[in-house]
Amino acid sequence: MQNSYIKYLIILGVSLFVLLNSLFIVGQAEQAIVLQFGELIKVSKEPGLHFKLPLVQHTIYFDKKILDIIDEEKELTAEDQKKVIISAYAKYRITDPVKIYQTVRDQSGLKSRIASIFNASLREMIGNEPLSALLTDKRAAVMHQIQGLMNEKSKKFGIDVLDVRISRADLPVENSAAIYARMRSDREKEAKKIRAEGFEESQIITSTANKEKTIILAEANKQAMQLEGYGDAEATKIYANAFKLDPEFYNFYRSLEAYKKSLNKKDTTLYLSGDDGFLRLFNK
Amino acid sequence: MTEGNNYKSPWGKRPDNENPNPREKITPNFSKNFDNFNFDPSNTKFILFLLLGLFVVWILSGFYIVDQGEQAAVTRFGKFVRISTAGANYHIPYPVESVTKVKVDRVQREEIGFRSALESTGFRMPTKSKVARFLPEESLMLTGDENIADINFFVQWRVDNIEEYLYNVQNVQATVKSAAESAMREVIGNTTIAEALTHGKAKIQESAKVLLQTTLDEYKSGVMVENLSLLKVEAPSEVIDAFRDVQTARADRNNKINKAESFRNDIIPKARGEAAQIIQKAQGYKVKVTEEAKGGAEKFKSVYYQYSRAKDVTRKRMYLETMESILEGAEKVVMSKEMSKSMVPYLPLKQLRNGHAK
Repeated sequence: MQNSYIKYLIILGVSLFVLLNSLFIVGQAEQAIVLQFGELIKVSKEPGLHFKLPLVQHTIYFDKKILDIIDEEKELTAEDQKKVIISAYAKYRITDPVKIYQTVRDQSGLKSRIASIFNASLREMIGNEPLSALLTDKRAAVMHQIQGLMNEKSKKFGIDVLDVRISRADLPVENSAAIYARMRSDREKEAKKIRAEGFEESQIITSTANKEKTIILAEANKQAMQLEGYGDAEATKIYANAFKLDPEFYNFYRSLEAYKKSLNKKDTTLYLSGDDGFLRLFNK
Repeated sequence: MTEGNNYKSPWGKRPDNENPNPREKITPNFSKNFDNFNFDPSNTKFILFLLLGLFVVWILSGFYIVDQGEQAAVTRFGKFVRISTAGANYHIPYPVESVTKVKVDRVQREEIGFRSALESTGFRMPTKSKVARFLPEESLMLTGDENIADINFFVQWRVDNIEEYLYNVQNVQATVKSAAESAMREVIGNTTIAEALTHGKAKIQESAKVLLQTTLDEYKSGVMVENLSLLKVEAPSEVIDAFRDVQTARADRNNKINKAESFRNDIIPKARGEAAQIIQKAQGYKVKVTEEAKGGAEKFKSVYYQYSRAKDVTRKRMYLETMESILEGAEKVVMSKEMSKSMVPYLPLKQLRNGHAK
């Protein structure tokens, strides 16, 4: 009785085990192949619950997601012999897991093969273009070409390379030093030129201003002299108009004024004799 | 356990020969048949209760809560079946269905060229944070004219489509970062350094953002790029002094020109002022001279008209008045006719001068 109880348990346990072993779950981002003693039976790409023969068949899982391959910084040579340091990444997806199993067995084996294909493709394509191509819109085209080359080389692995991007395309350190030197001297030239422009323009402004000032003053002086001349002429005319009434009298009058002005000072010493008109009555 | 007349009960021995109840004899026999059932009714019930309890617990494990700002992807036997949104939800318990929750309103930030001072989780406040260190291997980029620029920028992104995000791309965060770096380098590789350092910033940001989003969409990553911002675009530190000097040179040039202009703005008005003064002075002179002339002329005319009424008399009077005023002020020496005739004119000019100089 206890035996049959145990028997039931054992039967239950075994059938459960067999049941579980004949089911397998494929996740939304997974795909699986079913093998029987190493021989391929089927491929299960659809996510969900799947069946297989228990015990004799087992599954190997593969990613359905887009995976990365990263090529770390390496120095490559471009077509024009210029050296460039490239780091790039490629995105690929497993499309035919069977081929992977047949060639490299599993995903980690795949990864190392793809890495070397990536490296070789990069080398080849970079070596086909001058360095400057990477610095124009040709860069996208080069990345495409690398992608195409990779796809060609990895056809037998059942993967699809979706994208290749160059993260870095830099010049080696020695070149950097040369570039910095050139950048510096370019800037120095520019700074010099700008300062010279400043000097030149300020000179122009200053000398133009000085010239303008001279002209203004000269004009003013000319005008002034004209005015003065006009004034003098006018005065002369006025005087002449008055004095021509009786020129002789003007002479007399003016002389008297002159004597008054010039001789009427303390520092004047006059020596007078009786002959003089003024003193004629004196001597009488 | 065996049941028999020789059964020893733990509560003491039954008297051997007693067989009080014929039924007792029967019941042991029944008990024998129901042996397996005597304890099993409780066993079965117990197991049944246990199983029922476990089943209920299992059923209840299907309840789950999705928080605000989250979405959950539900898979049935691995296959994606639906998305559930915020609130209380139910799924068929594991292993039939399982739930993966994703925060869809969480903005993540990737930094290129530097690392800010906050903890390096994916989660950073999208606003300013201090730079902890610079990473020249990430930040130095080759420009279109084979110069080198030093660039720091960051990208803010969030999950837009959780089905794509969960099942299409391995390691989405690293993908965003490397795609961002690649996009920026591609854009910079197409820009001259002069443009990058001055007015090209907006264009660079826009182009890089578009390129990044396009790439991420190609991968069907379910990522939405919210923002791509340049924090720093400079010449590398080795040459930055030379670049700064260009700016200084521009400032110097403007300074010089400003100085010259202010010089001009000073002397021209001054010159005009001076010119005006000169002219005014001349005008004043003209007026003075003409007025003086008019005055003199009028004076003469009035004297003349007086004179013309009595010429001789007026003449004599004028003469005498003049002599009067002259002789009043001057030093006089009067000599007689005879004296002056016999004198030698001798003028001690020096003494005279000195004398008057006192």
